[in-house]
Amino acid sequence: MMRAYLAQSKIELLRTFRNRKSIFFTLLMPIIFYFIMSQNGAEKMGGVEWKAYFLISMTAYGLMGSSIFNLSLRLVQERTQGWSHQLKITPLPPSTYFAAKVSVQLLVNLGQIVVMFLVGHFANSVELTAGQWIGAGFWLLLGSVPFLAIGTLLGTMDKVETAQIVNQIVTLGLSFLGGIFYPMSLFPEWLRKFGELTPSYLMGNGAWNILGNQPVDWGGVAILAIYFVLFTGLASYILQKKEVSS
Amino acid sequence: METAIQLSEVTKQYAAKNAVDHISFTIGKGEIVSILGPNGAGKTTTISMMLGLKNPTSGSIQILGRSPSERKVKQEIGAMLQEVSVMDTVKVSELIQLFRSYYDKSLPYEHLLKLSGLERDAEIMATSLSGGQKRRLGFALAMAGDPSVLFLDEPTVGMDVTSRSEFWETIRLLKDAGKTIILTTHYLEEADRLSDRIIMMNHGKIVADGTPEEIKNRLTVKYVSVTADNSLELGTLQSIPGVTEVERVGEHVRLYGDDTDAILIHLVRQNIAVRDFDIHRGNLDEAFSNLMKEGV
Repeated sequence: MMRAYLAQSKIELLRTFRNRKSIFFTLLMPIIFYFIMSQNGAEKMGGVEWKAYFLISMTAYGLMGSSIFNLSLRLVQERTQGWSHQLKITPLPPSTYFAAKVSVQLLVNLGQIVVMFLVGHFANSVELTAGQWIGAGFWLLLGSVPFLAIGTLLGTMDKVETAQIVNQIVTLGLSFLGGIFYPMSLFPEWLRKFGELTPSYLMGNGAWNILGNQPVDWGGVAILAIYFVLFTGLASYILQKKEVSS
Repeated sequence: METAIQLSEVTKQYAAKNAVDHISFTIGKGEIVSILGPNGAGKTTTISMMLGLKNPTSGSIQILGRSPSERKVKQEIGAMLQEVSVMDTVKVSELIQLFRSYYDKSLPYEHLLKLSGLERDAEIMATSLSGGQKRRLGFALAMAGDPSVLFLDEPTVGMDVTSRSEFWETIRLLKDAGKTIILTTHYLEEADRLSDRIIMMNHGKIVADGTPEEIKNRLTVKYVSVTADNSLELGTLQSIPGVTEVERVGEHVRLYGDDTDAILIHLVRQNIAVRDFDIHRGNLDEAFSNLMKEGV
């Protein structure tokens, strides 16, 4: 099944690059936001330069968007338009199909991190040590995994239109609540308690910690893992239920 | 003949209604079988169950001696579904290559393009194909794994007349290559021309199963129509051997009977004063509409 896995991955990758909407919302928009909002900053956030801090924020924002957007919309489209029926007739195991989708999205996420970091370094002179670049990049990649699960969960919806709207609400909601656009320290106390539990905050926070030479937040890793298991479990439960009723 | 497909007592229930109601049939390897019936007769549900897309409520289905959901079966079957959907932002060539990768043995890419008549459309986006071209793509995808059992659900809907007859030619070639083919269709001419056997369904049940000839014989009426002067006695006609009924409207007379040739020969030999001979033999359309009138 290696041949099928590779062929499926190639197609998924091609589709991502050909989708201009996805490229715009998940790569260009974060870059534009980054330049607009990193201009007025000599300030520091917890010992981290604002332009470096906000580079992490916008990279996280792009990762959330593309993980949720790419996975959920394609899953809904393929299921509602009968493509998944066509696939079910072939010997391709659903697990191979899904593994290809997820691993390609991880690869795309890695590419996004690299592009954002290059932009930050060369166009906005963000200076970090090699260890910080690699550590922050790795953390962001890891932090994007629960969003793959969220994308899969939203991919169980029945209509592309609804999925699109819910997508936006979830991405924007998690961005604001998770302190991606405004630092969490500016939030009122009661809101901060919620915000600090969002996967978006935890994804950003791990990387901000690395930039500020803070120790790794293992509690955060655990919560991200719980999110992953929760959303994956919920998605497969819903898909199984749909399967039975057909 | 070796068995390719076997259904026994298959039922599919939706809500309280049986979409498919205790049907059984066996299809041998190399047969071309058409499943005919009006909308809602249960054709597509039956095909979906054979493909493992739906599970029967009760009864059993075996494809090549195995359950339809087994991967070994999926290596050996291909299907063109009624609604061909395609992924967006993917070229025709890329989709065909993708499908080839799913199978242990696949037909060569160039061969699939030729078989489906998509040579000139290979590099365009699959979503921008016309309805008829999409059917061709569906066919190419169905053939990707060089299947020994091929399911075609309304294969020529949306095709123009030329494409349709080209498609029929391809199906005949596949039959010669020994493929087992199951098709559903609305076009009775298609069923008549292509298949060795027709299974007619209505209200989830099989109402007729046989060769196109047998079905036509069973479900249609045959008669010799002639013109006769009013002076001709009806009794003369009624006494002709093989005539079961005589119908007379003015000068026009219909002599019903199974062996229309014998009736015609008798009329000529006995020099009976009739003219304008015409033999009416039922076609499949008539069989079909008679069947539906019966209501079963």
